[in-house]
Amino acid sequence: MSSPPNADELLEAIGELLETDVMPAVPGDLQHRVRVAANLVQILRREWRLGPEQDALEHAALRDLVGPDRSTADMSTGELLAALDGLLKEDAATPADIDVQAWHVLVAVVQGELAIVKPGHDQWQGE
Amino acid sequence: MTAVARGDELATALEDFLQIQLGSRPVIRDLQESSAGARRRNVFFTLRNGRDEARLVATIIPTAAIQQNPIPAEAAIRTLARANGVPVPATFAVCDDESFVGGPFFVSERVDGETIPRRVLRLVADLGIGEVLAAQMAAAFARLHSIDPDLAPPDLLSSSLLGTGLVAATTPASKDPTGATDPARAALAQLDEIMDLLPQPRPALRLGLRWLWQNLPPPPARLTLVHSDIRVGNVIVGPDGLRAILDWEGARRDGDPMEDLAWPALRMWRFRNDDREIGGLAGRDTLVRAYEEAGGSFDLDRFRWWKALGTLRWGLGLAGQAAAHLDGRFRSVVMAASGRRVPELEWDLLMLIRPQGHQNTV
Repeated sequence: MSSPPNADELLEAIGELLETDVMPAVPGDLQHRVRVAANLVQILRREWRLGPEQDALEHAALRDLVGPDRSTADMSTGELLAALDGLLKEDAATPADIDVQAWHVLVAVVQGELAIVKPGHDQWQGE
Repeated sequence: MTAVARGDELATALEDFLQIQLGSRPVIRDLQESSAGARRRNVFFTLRNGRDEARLVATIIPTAAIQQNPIPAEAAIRTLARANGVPVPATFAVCDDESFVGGPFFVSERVDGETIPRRVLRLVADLGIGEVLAAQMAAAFARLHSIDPDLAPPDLLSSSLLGTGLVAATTPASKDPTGATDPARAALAQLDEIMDLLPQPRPALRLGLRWLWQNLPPPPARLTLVHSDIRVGNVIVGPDGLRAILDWEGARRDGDPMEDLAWPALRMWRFRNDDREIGGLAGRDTLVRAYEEAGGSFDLDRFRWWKALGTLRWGLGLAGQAAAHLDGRFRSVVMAASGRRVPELEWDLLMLIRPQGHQNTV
């Protein structure tokens, strides 16, 4: 086990540096990039906390959708994504209601990722 | 000259060019660069010619940048639109000779007002003119779409050439079975090719692509001139509302009018005013009413289809930016961060292609 501070605490320190010290000290054209970097630090902190659970949920949801007639037991998330992508490229994909099933699964998967990259973005569900 | 001229050198170069246009040597002062726009540079200045004074802006395309419409075509479509009642700054001069300032450019009148979205939306909220602005934009769309496309400059972009230069030419797919230009099919075929170039599969985007093919509308009754990028950010706004529409570089001669209307309705162009579908300014009813009162004909199915297409296109664009960072074509933290913005567009797209009668549970 690594010595403290842990990854989240280190990222927090980097975020504070960028927002408090670096931002006011750099010229305008660089401020946007610093702001983007500071936001990435916050994304990484949420990923550190929520990432493992989200990965497991995504893997399970994709496996349910792509299987069971395919040998999905040992597939990685990347392989499942590729399999689903391939399935959605077929005109007459199986099962017949793949569009509806995939929609529900992908809504959940994307929602899990938004909790990390843009919390609250999924509050709007209209057109 | 390899790089675009700056400062005094640029002022002298503009004076050299305008001397030929005006027949006498003018004086340029108060030259000021706009920070906005990486692909195009806007330079503001005051021109004095004898007793006359004019506040102008030069729009310069750096030679190396990818040019969409050639500068003379862009200037000509602006002039044509303006002559037909679309608010566009008057063109003062056009220069296709790259030797003057290091790239082709045109000079137009300077129109005062806000262009930065955050400031536009604050102004609009303070004065309560969101509906007014949305209606003015709709009327401008209707006027643009009513222009006879045969009057467009001959070298204005065509929908049938969508995709060329980005990926392999998609000409066969851009025509319907009878050989006519089909803007929707052309745009979708382009995205289909880009999708296959993604370094990592994105099933949510793929599902969107699938929905777009399943719901591909027939070619529109009438192909029209389209601007293709009218939204908050590309308009000049004052207390009286819409003053000018900018950035005609992507205008096409044979588009579907609904693609123009759908573009400002994308969620990302609402700047967090999610419940105001049209640019964060007003609801859809305002757009439809004003467009039809000005002679346009609204088509809801096509409008929805183009919204989904625009959202998919933006999602693919963000994924492409991340890829450009990763493979070293364009190293930048901003480009890298774009990869993590793709889920936002995936969400917006999924909401647009929601199967009938299905709700997601949050």
